[in-house]
Amino acid sequence: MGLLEGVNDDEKLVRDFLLHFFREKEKVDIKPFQHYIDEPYLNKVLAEAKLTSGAPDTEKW
Amino acid sequence: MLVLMFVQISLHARNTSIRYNNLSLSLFLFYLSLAISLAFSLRSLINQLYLSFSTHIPMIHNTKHHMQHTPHTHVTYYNISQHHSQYHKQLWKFVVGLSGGFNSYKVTVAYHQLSLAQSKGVYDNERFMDYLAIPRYTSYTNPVWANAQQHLAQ
Repeated sequence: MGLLEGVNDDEKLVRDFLLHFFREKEKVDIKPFQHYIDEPYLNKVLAEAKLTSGAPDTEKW
Repeated sequence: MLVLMFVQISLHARNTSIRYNNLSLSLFLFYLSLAISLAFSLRSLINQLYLSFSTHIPMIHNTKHHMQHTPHTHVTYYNISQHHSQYHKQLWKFVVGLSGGFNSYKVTVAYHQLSLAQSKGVYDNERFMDYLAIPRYTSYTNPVWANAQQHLAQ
């Protein structure tokens, strides 16, 4: 569109945003995203966020 | 242009054996004014080209809406980087009112807005939700929601 490049693959951006939001809060609610995003994908990103942010209960993830 | 100007002047000065006389000076001023006017014309042409590319959105049916929401002429994508977010905001104002057939435009604008914000360390939850809410098929999209959106569109 105009001078903006078209979007071929936005998965990385979405994943980065989700990781940021999931790392931000200790108790994460995936419901707001669940409506638009596939649940298995959300759970995968949530687990990654928790494991890489040093959450105390890593075994849960 | 400047090289040509100096060559002409030096040749003239050599031929007449008079260095930088009145004629040379008038030649110098003539070429200088020519060079300046050419530079301004080129600058204006380049600006016009940038504007025509940056504000071109095909198939606009609502002219009034178009006039209200297209980016102002003083904002172009090639301006300094601080104008990018302003430019994206104006583009978003424009595309958000378009029909579902222009969803790819909405995705493009929102994507670049989010990318720019992210590069500055800003994660705008509201805009991110707006972005997710644009109907499309991707590897991560909830298929139930995407199918429902397609049925609605039909």
